Amino acid sequence: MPRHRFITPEEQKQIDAILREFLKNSDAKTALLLDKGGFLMSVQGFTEHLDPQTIAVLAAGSFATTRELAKLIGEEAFTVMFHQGRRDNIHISAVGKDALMVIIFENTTTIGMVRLFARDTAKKLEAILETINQRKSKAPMGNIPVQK
Amino acid sequence: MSTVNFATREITCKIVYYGPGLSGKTTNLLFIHKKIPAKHRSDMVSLATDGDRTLFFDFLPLVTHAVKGFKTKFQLYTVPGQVFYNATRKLVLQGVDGIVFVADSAWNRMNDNHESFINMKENLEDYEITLEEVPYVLQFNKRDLPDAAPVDYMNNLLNREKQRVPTFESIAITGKGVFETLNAISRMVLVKLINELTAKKET
Repeated sequence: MPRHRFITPEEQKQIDAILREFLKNSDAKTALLLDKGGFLMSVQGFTEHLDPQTIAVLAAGSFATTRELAKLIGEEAFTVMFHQGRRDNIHISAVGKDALMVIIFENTTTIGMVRLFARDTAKKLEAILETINQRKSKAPMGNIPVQK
Repeated sequence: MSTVNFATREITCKIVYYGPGLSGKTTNLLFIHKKIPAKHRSDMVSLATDGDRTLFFDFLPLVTHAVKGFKTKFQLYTVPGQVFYNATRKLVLQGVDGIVFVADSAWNRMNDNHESFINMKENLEDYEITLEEVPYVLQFNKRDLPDAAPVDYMNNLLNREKQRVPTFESIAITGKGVFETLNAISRMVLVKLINELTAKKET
């Protein structure tokens, strides 16, 4: 049965702060947290001229494709994807079972730095997402009024 | 799986247009994209082959204010209709909140309609979702075809689950029936969400 996901302001604040800390440590440009269906939970860092929602949907799509690719060669799943550009690069990594972190970074930092801090960040995010995913269907902050 | 974010006060729901190849799923989205003012939608993403066949999916995000105090976002997706793209079709169904099944009214496509419907049920089952749980509507597209099958016949072929669902006749290329279908499914998705949110007991 499809469930609903509720994110409280407190959880949103924590997620945003973790991503901002990651950006500070790794010197990457932009960080996005999304679920594997492409739903965007947070965007931090440089977003000018970017369309984060579309990036999220396409990243989730390509990540899903790699999962099928992995199966074809006998792996359960790949956990990291990396696209190298001339100036900007994209690093996509799994956060727990249901989420992905997309990191956009320039050549001012290195893939090694990004990977190093991404791993730690994923662990921190996973703990919060676990709480969110375990929340049952009742709204945590009152009912939502429907507009006629 | 709809998401309710109390920090940004946003509700996001996913609606998937399903159906056999060339039945008009992408055409539905293109018309919606054309008619909805830019402030209520983002750009449409279309991953198609040269022959205009959807390769992965189309994606169109819409923003409304259907729920008071919350920005309500609908993410519309289409699936690739062609039979051999089932892996992608299944991926797009992940986390779906509502479905529009777009059937082709041409007589010679009835088998394809039926097969695609069965395929949808099977793919949903893999996510442990049944058609009783997920809101869906049927759209009989291409009603302007000279050899269009009678609506009763299509109803009999496709609308035979325990719960009969609303059906819409459409000519997606001219826009006829497109918004009626979208309005119906979005309302059904929201009603279900609200009912579940306001339910007295936890399910």
